[in-house]
Amino acid sequence: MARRAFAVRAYGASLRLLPPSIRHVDGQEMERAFEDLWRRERTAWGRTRLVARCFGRLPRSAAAEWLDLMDVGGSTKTGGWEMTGWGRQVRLAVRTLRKAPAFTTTTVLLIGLGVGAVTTIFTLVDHVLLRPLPYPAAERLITVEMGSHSGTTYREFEKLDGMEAWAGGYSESANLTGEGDPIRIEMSMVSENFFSLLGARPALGRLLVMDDFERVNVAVLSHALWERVFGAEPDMVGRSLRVDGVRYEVVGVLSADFEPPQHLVAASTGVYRPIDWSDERIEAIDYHMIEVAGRMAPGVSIEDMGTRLDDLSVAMAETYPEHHVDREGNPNPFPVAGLQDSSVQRVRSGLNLLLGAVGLLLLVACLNVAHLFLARGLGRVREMAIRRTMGAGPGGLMQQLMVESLVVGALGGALGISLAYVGLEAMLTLNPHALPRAEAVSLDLRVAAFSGAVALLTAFVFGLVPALRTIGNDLANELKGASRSATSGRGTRRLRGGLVVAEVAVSLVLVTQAGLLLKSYLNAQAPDPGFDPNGVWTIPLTPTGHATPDSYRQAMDGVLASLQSVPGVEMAAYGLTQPFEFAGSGRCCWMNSLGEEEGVDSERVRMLIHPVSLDYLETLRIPLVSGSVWSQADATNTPVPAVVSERFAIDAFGSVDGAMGRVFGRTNRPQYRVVGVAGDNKHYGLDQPAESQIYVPMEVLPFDIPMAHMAVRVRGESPEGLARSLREAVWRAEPDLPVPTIRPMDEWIDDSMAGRRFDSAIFGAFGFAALFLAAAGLYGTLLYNVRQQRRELGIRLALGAARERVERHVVGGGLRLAFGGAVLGVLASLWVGRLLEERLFEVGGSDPIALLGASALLLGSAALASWLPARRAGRTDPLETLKAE
Amino acid sequence: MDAQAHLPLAPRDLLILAVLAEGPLHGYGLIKAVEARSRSGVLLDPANLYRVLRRMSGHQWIRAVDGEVEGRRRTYEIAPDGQAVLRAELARLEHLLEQARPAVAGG
Repeated sequence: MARRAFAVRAYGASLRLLPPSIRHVDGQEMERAFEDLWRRERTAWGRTRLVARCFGRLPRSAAAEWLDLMDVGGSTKTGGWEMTGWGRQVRLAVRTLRKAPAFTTTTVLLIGLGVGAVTTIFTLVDHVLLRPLPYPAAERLITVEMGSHSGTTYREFEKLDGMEAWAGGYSESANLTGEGDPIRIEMSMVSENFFSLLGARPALGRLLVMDDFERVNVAVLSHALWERVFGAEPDMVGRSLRVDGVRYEVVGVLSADFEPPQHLVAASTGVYRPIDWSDERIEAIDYHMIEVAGRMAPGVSIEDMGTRLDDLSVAMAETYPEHHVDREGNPNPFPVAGLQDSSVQRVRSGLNLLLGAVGLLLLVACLNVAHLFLARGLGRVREMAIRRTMGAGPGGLMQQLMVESLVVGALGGALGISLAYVGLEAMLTLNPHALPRAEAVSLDLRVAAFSGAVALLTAFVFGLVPALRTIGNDLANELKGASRSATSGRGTRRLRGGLVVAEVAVSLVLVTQAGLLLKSYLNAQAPDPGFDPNGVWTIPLTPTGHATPDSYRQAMDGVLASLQSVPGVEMAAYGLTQPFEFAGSGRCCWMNSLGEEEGVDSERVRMLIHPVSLDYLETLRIPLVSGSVWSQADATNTPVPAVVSERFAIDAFGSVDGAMGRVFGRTNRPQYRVVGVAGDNKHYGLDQPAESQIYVPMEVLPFDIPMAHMAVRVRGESPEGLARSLREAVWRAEPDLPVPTIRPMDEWIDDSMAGRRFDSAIFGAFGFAALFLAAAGLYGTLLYNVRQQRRELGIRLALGAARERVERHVVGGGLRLAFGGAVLGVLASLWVGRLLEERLFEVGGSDPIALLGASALLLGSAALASWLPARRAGRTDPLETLKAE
Repeated sequence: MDAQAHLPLAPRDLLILAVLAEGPLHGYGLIKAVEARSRSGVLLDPANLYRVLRRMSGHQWIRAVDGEVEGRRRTYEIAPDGQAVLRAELARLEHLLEQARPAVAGG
């Protein structure tokens, strides 16, 4: 079945406004009925009307259902709730509000916007940063950072005092075959206490026990894999699986609620198996593989463990001086951190930033709500005074005003929650991979309640103004004078002016930040990747299970030949890795971090060793600056022929010419001879510096790293169904090899920009909303002032004042407020910009263009917002206004 | 059941009962049928419709049809009490019209 229309899904989500008991009985039926209605409406207009009708009436039905549940009403015939005490107040309030549709709509929209935005962002922050990890005694879980550890080191950790248990694990991509099409999965190797430490429970069978670590080839499946691949088969226990050509016996399936700790193993792990402690590689002290976490015993502090780990690092340095000591002779440290802190560290600053931005937006929205209530309230002072004279007590008036605020707040809150649903979905689509634990996010109604309460409080406080003004005032005076006096009192006028200034200032901050992030997004897109991504398609493969490098290479050459025979393919090549796959993470598979290379002039050169097939540079169109690529015959020569990037040539040998023909390499490792120098290219992201790379023949790959990235250059336009023919071509050569993705190179580059796009999109949206709100606030204030001063303006015009002069007077008043706000806003932006600086690319936090642009935009909107009321002031008919009094 | 106690019916309720009196229908069908025969502008939305249907089921005016599943959608039919209320309301309205018509005809 086709994916359901967005409107249908949104309606389904909005039905959550109804009480759960009702939803369970009729929710599905309602959604289906809506779906049928939606399908039948073919025109955009019909659909708009349908949406307006169904969504518009939903809050009312929902309110009625809730009131029914709370047993407020009597007869259910008319819904009943309208008729009793509170119900009457609500009904009265609804009637009053309907008489002021502009006020009601605007206020509801404002509250909805504010609540929606805050709920969305706060829900994310709450899930990702604040909520404890879903493991028992999560606050006592710690991890040892600084990369992964060897099996030997892990065993040393286990001997430390003060800990209840340790768990270790690591993940690898693996191929699951024999269950339909071969698929790529994540397989995680875990230690004895892994599941018990994290409080995991099986849904089927059992989890790992000590004996399993003797024979190793047992597997525990994730709930997701069990459902997806095996259709939740109940007889799963005892079945066998083939992963990378090895058979595993399934002993159990994890329960659905188990979240793998992302610090230890891949979040999408499908198969868990015991770590094979007998494997030489695991034991080797220089083979760092295992990520660790542990639970401290109660009463032990993280500082205590820090001290113990420091002692251990000194001891390790003494036992293994070759490996646990850095170049200066200091022991390699074991920094300890809380597991929660360490799993979210990467995104903390970004989310805090968002939280700040959305807080500002809520502030602007609340300022505006305050504004509207204040304006409306002042207009009603006379009405209130009349009511008082007619015998209404201050209590009654206050109650009525409170109910009005409550109704507006409730409507706005409902709107906000619907917006938050949509917003959350949009956020997760925009930024699917960058957030840890993001799949666990669902809307948090408590958060919605909190932000709703903030908006409601604003409405309450400012909604009560008119009632408060009548209390303790001389009523007769109020009736006679207050509404006639030219202005509404200095105090309130100043308050309203202050609100506008604050709004403009806060909006300016948001708009400036949006400008900065947008500029930095555009800057980050500008650099040349150093190769030509147009028309290049990539196919990452994991050819596991090859016993020798030769068989791996033969298999990949076979795939290459098969790809080359696909119609439309101009060239094909492959490399161990590919540009932009590891964008953002800054980790790649084969990196000599600080090469202590012999034959290299400078002392430390970071380089990326990139084994590639013969045509790789030509396929990607990486230009050669000097020399040429090796020939097939030379590939196995010693020293190994290598093409180095320009940056490497300059870093290592001082110049391109100086690099040609030089031989370098570590002792006991392959020696390389420079046969060519290629142009620099970006490997980790357009906004990253060009990597210092050396390209070497595939033939030097010393052991079988199960990775290969095919790159195919297509002639002209990509033909229809290219991805499918490429996939089939791979399978013609290697039928058991999963082909998880085939995508154009452009998409990888695009993905690497997701974070920046996300930042600027969010800030852009917030900035735009704030700008609009500030302009609306200014407009409202001036319009109100003009109305208040109608008499004064009428007299002036009657006495012969020029129309332009009156208009200038009003516009000037508006611009003065806006200018004051802008000055404050610029100062605040300068300060906020500093916090933002680390996320910016080639833009300063106090970039003058962003500041000036934002100020101009704001003052421009302010001028427009003032001009409209001014025009009205200029058109005041002197006679009419005086008569109206 | 005393049908009189429930009169007068809201136009919406009357129309729903009238539509169901002609044969069982599911939610979407009801919305469309009521819409089609209503020049008085009774437009239903799903949330409201099911609220009304639930209330009517509570009074046993209508009931969900057992077992009869049309494309997984729940179907409702009118019950004897519903017939009675509908008849009573129609009788009341006709009586009312009889009283009122001469005034218009004469005017």
